[in-house]
Amino acid sequence: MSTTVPKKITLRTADNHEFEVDEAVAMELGTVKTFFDENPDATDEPIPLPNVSSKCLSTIIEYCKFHLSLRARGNDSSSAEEEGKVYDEELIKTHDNESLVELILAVNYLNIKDMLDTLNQGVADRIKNKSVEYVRRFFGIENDYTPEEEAEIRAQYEWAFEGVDPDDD
Amino acid sequence: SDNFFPGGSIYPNPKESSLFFSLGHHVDVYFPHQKRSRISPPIVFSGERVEKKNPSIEILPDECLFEIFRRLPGGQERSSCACVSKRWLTLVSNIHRDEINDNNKGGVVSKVEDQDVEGDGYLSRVLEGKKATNVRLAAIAVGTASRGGLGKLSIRGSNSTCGVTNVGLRAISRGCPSLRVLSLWDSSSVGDEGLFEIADGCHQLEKLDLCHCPAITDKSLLAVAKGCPNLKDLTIEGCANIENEGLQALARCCPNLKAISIKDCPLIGDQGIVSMLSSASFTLTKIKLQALNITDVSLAVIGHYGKAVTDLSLISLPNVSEKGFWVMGNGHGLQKLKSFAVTSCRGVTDLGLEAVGKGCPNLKQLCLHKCAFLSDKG
Repeated sequence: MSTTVPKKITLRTADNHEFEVDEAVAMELGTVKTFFDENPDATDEPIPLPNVSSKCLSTIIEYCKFHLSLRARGNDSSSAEEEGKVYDEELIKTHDNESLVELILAVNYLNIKDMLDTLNQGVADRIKNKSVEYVRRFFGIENDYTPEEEAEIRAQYEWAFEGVDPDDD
Repeated sequence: SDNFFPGGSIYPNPKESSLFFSLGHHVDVYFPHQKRSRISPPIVFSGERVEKKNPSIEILPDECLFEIFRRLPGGQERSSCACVSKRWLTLVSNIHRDEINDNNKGGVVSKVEDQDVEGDGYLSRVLEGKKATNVRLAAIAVGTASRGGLGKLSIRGSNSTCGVTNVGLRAISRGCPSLRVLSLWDSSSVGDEGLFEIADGCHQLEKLDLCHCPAITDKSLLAVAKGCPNLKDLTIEGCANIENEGLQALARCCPNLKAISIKDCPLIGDQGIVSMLSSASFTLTKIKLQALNITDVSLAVIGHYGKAVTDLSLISLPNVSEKGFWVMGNGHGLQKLKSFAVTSCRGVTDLGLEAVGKGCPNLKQLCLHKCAFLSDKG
């Protein structure tokens, strides 16, 4: 339980950066919270997060802080919600595919549900209404269908290829 | 308040290290280990796997991709994702209809396809021989889900190398809740698990046709009985592991069962037929029994309980005797019987036939084939 002086928790990333954050922020990270739930008398040593880079972690901490403060404001929910949305959109916009993927991995590992939802939605929005080739190129995916299989599947889905956005790369 | 401590990092600047990464890529020996943790979460510091490409969406674990696909607004998007790679197809096909996130209503795209009333199930698909693979099943599941839904699915045989298995049926179960007719022929690699999935996801099933599926047992029928109360029509042929208990369960749980056809199932005997007839006495209209070990007892029960039966066909029943036919005719249950066909049954004699004739006032059509002991008198 937090005392009068907010407790600080130190997190260490894969590339050996250390981040000191308020306990409340750290508790937003599901994985960290579970750790403390299971080890209530854990020492003040930095918690290693071997799957998270410092770049990701700083983004994640920003996110958690922002949403914590929104929630702290409580009742004027509509404007808070609106701000949250704007923030989330901005978050998606400022990340390219690679860093978005990286961020999802980190957030998935840290188990932050809301943020993961936001990010996943962001990727879904990038996929939607794009051609298959575009998606493959865009995300660097290998096509493992045989030509025959692909033809068959495409025939099955013919309708799905009407009206996709023109590839813009 | 929350300070950023550069700490004792080997790489003072993450940007630089990623540059390093792309160079080190070609010089395997020189590959710095720590860097890899950045992109291969499940196997920290293990190396090997990551060498070939930059972090792509492919390194996301299945559950993440699943979450992403779940958020796609329409069937169209999901279908085209399914075309991207097999892994995507598998994932997309595993999305249950209920799990699709509909928060996107009123989004940028609103295609005509999305407005189709889902669940009509007017589409039908047939997979034959070489084409019967899980990939195609999954493709069908995803492709038909938002275009009216799959109503009929027939699988004939199975690809020898990568045939239809339970996985394929799972995709169907998830994507095609409107399925009404399922027909599985010569699918040796489909087992109970597959039918469990169907029973779990396709509650509208009305017709089930299993032919030469040796891995399917009573457990499947029990599951279908529980999951598909609308079942009307059941055909089982050459399924060596289906026993009486399965039939009993179906008869008990499926009040709409109208037609059964059972052929060449060595483990099905009188007990199964008896319980079927006695439970579904008022609904069963068509019965076809062929190459079974049933005896006079079954015929007696049909004669007594077959009150709604209009069509009865008995073929190659070596253990049925004259007495069976006689009792059937005298059971006075077959009041509605219109069409009666008997082929290769030693038990049909003049006496038996006479009894049937008397017991079935509405009989209009009678076909007799290969009945050696019958004279003109009958």
